[in-house]
Amino acid sequence: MELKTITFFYGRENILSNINLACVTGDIIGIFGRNGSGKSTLLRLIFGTLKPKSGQIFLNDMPSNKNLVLNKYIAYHHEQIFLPQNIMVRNLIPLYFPKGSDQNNIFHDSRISKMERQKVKSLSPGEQKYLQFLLLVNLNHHFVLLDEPFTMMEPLLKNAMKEIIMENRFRKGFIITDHYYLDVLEVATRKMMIKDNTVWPIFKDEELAASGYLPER
Amino acid sequence: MSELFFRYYRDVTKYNLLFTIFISVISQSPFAILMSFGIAGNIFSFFIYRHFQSIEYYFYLNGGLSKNRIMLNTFLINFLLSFTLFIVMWKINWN
Repeated sequence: MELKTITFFYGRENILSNINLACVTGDIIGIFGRNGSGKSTLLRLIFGTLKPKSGQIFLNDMPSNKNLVLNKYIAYHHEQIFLPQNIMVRNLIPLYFPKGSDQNNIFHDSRISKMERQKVKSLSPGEQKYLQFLLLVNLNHHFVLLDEPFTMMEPLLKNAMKEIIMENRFRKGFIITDHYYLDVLEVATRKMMIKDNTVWPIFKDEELAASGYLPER
Repeated sequence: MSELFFRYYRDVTKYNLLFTIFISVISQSPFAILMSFGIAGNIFSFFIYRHFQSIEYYFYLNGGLSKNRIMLNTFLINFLLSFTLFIVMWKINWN
């Protein structure tokens, strides 16, 4: 997946300028940036729910379009929980995975098997978010965009999510953004910073402070 | 059409049914009831779903269903259902 010279405006306000970014299978790209810097906007541009003012996104060297994205190329974990609420977990899973064999990875997860007879709305926000994460990562998509996956999560669930990301990195590319930056730093193979409307590579963790994202020590 | 689509159809059509029940109470005209379910109730249900559950469109997008596609399919199913019932009623009254 490659972004070439992406520019985006909200009204007259320039949010992203001249963004160039490539993500391949095996990449776990951590994107950092202050509130309002354009991290979520960037993920929505890649997912196709926002359109860039200029520039182009390529998927396997083909210009990205809605059909390509919907045709199992990109999964997008929204920062909010988007699961239907009034449905039992055991009935929700087959909506994404109609084949029984594809459901195994989900139902065999010990945390999911405990909640499978509960309705989604009766789960805690953290449990719902974990379920949402697990569903998306197990889809057959080439790339997974994770917007604030670790926010609200208990440490055990966060660790489980990080393990799942690491296990899946050999068949997918990930882009993660979250203010729980230590968790992102732990899994990221490449780090980027959005500042002054554009993306900068981060080579050392100390650069996060130098760039104004973290307080200076 | 997939089970995923019918999950959306069920969720959105419940608002249409509530609207149509309301119309049936105040109008009691079979034509108005069918018009409600086929057209006005459809539009009402999309509006309510968008207001209260719009975040769930991301669930369907990730499952490969675009917002426009599932809205159009829902509208067509309900419209054709209403239209068919209208034709049946018209035939019965004609005879």
